[in-house]
Amino acid sequence: MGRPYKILMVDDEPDLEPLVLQRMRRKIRSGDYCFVFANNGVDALDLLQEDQDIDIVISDINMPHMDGLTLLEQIPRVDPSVRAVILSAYGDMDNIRTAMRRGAFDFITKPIDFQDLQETIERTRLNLDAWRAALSSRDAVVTAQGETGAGPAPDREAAN
Amino acid sequence: MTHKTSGMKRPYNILVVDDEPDLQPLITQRMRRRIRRGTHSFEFAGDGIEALEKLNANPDIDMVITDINMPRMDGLTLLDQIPNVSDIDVRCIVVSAYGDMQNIRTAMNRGAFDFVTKPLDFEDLQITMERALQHLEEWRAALSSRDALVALQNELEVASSTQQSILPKAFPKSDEYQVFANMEPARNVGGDFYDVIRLENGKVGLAIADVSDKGVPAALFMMSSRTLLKGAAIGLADPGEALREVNELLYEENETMMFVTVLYSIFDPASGMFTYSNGGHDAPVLVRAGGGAELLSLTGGVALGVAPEINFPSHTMQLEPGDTIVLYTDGVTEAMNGDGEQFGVDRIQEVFEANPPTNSEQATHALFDAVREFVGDTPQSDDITCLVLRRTEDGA
Repeated sequence: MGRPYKILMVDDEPDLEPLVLQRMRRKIRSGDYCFVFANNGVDALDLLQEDQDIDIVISDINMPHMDGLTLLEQIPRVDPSVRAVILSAYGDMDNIRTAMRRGAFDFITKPIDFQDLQETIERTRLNLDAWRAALSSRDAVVTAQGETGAGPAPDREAAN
Repeated sequence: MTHKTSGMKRPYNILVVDDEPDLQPLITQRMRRRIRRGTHSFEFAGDGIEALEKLNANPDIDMVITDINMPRMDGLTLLDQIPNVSDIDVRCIVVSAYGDMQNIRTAMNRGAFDFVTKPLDFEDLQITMERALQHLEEWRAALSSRDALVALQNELEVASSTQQSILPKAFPKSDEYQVFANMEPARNVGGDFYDVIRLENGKVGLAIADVSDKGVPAALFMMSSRTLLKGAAIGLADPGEALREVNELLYEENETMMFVTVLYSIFDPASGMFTYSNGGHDAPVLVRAGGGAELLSLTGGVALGVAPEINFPSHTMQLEPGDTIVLYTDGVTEAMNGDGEQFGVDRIQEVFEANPPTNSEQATHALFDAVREFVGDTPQSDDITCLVLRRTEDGA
């Protein structure tokens, strides 16, 4: 299956990290998931910039420095291939709708239902895999076009 | 000239599923501008079963907007069933009661793209619809790359097999000499070629060549170089004269500015004389019957197709029974391993010094095996070609 699926969790509540690590321990131990954590949107963007391997961002809404809805708008500028899931208060329809309209892939409500979280991560993963397969076809088309001569100009040094 | 390009595209086909009869006139009314412009069209179904029937009947449906609570089949069951409908690619939006988190979460986990709540906020619905359709467009564009890729690969495979088919696979059978050759293209189509040409009086012409550049342009240049060389080889008894003629013909019509390095030789089994001429190609390796491998002295010459009126001197030497000549392209010497190290001509000599050739086919395989072992998993950027001539021991 390759490398673990890398998930960035963004929340200013310090008890989220141990909770996630505890509840997701099997998935972590089996090498399916690995988690990184940030306390606010600014830190999250820094991490996304540094680490190209992050596949999914799961972010709280209310945080200092930069909130989750602003983060959502910023993510595509840093890494358009990342999928974002918003953590909202239960029934907070306004924020959920805003997040979805800003391009969130999905949302999860607090307190976190870990079964739901895992299903959501798996769906996100399937979606990402399908996209990546399609995009790699696009790259392969460019390569094949290179072979047909539709690519860059010939290199005269090639033969000797 | 004033046709609108948007007029060329069929409208987005949206299936609205709800058991409330007043939804249809409401949607038709609120979406009237889109309908009139021809960008969107709407169909309606009263429950999940009717929706599935419509989806089965019309694979052009792009989007399903469905209520949750309906008779016969509810919206959540419909979501589960949609992936079983073949040949459709839809995005689903679920309409739920405001704050009905449980159903919304279930719908999302069953693959809904998004949801809207009742009473319908048409602005939110429109934004959500457009977002889903944009997503669908991007997805279809990515998928069309996949189809284009398959088409391109098919064409390249045809080009590849056409090209491979002109390289001789059956070699002259003689008591006096053996010839064997192989080409492994780095890509679907390559720029290397070899040829084995039967000449008058039992002589045989042996050519190896490498076209500058890669891919289809190189393959086409290779095809014409090979044809010209064959013609010249049959008409001219001297390798240098054959190269001179091919060079003139290639130069005259060489608008692509490509060139080809060629080593062309003639072997006379009656006398054992080996005459060769070099057009900028790598020097052949001679493996002596008594052991020891050496590079044949280069006879100079530049690549063909670059400049007119070039003389290609021929050089003649005596092959003794059991002597072996190895012609190769720089795909062999420049084959690279994981450390960026090249195979080099020294290793060709080492291969045959360590294992003196017993016949041409075995020698060809020995060289390819050595190159493969050297490069390991490292992908190669150049075609690898080798042709081996051996004067047999009973040939004397």
